[in-house]
Amino acid sequence: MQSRRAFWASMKIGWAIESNWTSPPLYLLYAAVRPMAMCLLLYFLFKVAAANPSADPRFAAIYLGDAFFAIFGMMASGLSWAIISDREQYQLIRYVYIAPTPFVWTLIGRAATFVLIALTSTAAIIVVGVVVLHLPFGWSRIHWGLLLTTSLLGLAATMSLGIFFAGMLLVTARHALLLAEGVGGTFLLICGVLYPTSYLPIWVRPLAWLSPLTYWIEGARRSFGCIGFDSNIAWLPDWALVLALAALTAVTGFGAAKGFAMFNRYAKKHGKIDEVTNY
Amino acid sequence: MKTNKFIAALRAIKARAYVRIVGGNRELSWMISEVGLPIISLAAYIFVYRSLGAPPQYEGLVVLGGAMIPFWVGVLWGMASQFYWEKETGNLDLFMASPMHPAWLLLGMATGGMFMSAVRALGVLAIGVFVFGVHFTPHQPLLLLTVFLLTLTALFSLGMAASSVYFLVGRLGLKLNMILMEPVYFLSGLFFPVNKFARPLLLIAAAIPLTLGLDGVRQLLLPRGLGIGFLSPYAEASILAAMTVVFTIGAVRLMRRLEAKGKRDGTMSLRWE
Amino acid sequence: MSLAIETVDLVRTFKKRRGEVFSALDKVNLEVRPGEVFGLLGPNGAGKTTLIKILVTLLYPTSGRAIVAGCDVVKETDRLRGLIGMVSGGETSGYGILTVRENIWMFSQFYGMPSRLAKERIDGYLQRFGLAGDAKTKVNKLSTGMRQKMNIIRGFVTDPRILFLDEPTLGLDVHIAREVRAYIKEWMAENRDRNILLTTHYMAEAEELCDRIAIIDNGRIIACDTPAALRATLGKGGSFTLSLAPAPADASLVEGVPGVSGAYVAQTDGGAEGVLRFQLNDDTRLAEIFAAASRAGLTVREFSKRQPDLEDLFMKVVGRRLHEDE
Repeated sequence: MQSRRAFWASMKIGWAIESNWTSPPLYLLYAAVRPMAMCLLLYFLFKVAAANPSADPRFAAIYLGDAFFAIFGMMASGLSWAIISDREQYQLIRYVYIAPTPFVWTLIGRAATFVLIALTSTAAIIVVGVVVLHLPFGWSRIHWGLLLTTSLLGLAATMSLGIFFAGMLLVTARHALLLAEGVGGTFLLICGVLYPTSYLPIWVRPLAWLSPLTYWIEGARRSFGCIGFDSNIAWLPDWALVLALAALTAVTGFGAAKGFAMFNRYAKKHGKIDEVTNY
Repeated sequence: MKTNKFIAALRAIKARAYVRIVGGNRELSWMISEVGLPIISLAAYIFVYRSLGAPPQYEGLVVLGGAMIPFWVGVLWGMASQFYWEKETGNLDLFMASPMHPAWLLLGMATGGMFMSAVRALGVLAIGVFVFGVHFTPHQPLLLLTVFLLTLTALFSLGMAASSVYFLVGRLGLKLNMILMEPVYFLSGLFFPVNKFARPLLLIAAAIPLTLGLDGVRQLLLPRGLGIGFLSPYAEASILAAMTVVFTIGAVRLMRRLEAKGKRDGTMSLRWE
Repeated sequence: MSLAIETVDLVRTFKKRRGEVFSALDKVNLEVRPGEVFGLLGPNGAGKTTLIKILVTLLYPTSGRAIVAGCDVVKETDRLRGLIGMVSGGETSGYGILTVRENIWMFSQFYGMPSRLAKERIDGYLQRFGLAGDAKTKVNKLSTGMRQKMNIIRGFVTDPRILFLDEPTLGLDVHIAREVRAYIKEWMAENRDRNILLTTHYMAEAEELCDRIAIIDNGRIIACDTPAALRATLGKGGSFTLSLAPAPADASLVEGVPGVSGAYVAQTDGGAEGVLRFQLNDDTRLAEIFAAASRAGLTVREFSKRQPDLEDLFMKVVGRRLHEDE
């Protein structure tokens, strides 16, 4: 009960902190600008390297991958910012930490805020892709069942990774704001977001196959009709894809819980919870 | 204590630069978080080019773009929003009450910031060359150095000017920072040449020092004949020099004006807004 | 004789939301003589910090004038800043990732001090305040008291002509606060041409350190004189404390007695026992008070008298206690 209350309170507070400087629609637009910019960057990068992106199915797959991956990216950067500012700027983290509710629930609440905001951004990016870039994501072509199933599992995996990441942040110094970029970059690199995993060095590919985000992105692509982009997992039937995603999500969740507990212990032992390191 | 104003200025600049350089390097985890980890993102874009069958020289676009990211991050987070952080931690009152001109503080931050960003940029370049096998063929080294240095001065003087504006807008400055990261990466053509932009977009892009600097450095470091430039490096150097002057003058004037406004409105030391 | 600090009809207002105007300072007139430790006493929100901010050039006055060390705070800002220093209580300033010595050195450089001289002074002060062993400790590892000592050193190291101390011992333990006050007295004794303007709401601190004290409330100077002269305005008699059982409901027991003022019930012990405090300027009236207690069925458990202090003065001139929780 307390945990649930803490979760909802953290979500509401997270939303208020993020958006109270403007109206909600304007805030959501602001939140979409960054991932949108990266999608446009990809458009021009594709244009430079290949041909007309709008007519090339590879670009549609890349665009979708980036749009869905933005959810993880926004969650990671938003959560890191929240922890660092609560610790260094507002110096409130100590009070939240010592409250009776397990601290992890407040973090889950904050992460959930960012995930929900990111979902609206992803939707906006897809709409822009259709309207402005003329990408072939027709409403009638969407496989809703697959989309909802893989999205729910993908979001659960994202939240789990977010908790593990939050644990890392408890034990790092202020420039850990860039840690979000690094962690996001790692998953961007290995999960087949922008290119097929077959282009990864052979020793990196197992990491891709073990990441739930890889299967989530593939599931999202298939839902929108982008088939066969990544030959390494394109051969999996839909049910196998969902099963793999579910299993990996469960493992990720377990690992995240253990990892967070480990980082938490370390942070408490070395007085890192409320350490201020501004320069 | 009477002291020559110029000497006093140098001392203040040195002291603030010291904080940035020493403080920034004290926790060695920066090597991982500010060089090692960003390289991972860059690797993703290198693989995009490879997966699309682009010429290998295009990977140099990504590495050079990645090397410039620390400078842009330094401008936004180390310069533009710095006064906001100083206000939040209570340092701003003490800085403003000291005889030091705010411009010295900004110059110290810029000097330290340039050094720090340069160290990080070198790290990115080294990894690009030795790990990804990217080749650079520098030509006209003096012009290359000039364009690069003018890019730094233009960027950091922009940061100085922005710090005054951010001081005015308070917490909104952090939101501005967020919105100026990826959109500027896009507009400056961080991983692709901006000569693919339509003219209106190109004009907007050219107003950003990063665009001009990156374009000039690419033309002088990457093999000729790639067709990646949109202005000549000489033109870009001239524009960057002019930007440096304009931004620096703007920074000094704006700072004093905004200090006065802060003192009138009582917002200089208002925290927790 | 030129004054160290002078304010003439100083006003500072702030705009609140919905167009309301809040007056933080209301025609403040102050004169601080050279060589004085001048105290500014008042409750939270009285205007002490606003006044300090104007005098150290962080805030413009809305109207009126302020001259510090011969410089107009509005027109001669640059010259003035080289002559003053400021330390606030409860400061979190400084860079956590730098050492104690580095933080103080940095500020010394902002005042244009030669590095060698700065280092000599810093070492001397670190020794004096018992921080020599922590010179290389990162500030984020310091306790509150040590951090405040570092801040105090920062204020003195530039050898200011006038030092503004805004609640410098706020949140410090007794021992460290005593150390800080001892140094302030030492510094003033050695530098008779300097000034300290001290804001505090610790009465004892003001009485111990200050040559003169101004009491400020709601942006106005209510009283200004030496501690002894201010106490003398309370007249003869003293402050009395009666411990009564059972606890009196209010102070009406003594309010009818001539010569009594500022009476209040300080604390009650769940109704079983209570403490009544009041000023009385005529000891001969004590018998009436004891009789009143007896008539009310109250037993006097304990009785004490003390000389009036600034807390009593504040109560008298402002009409309420300085510390509202007492």
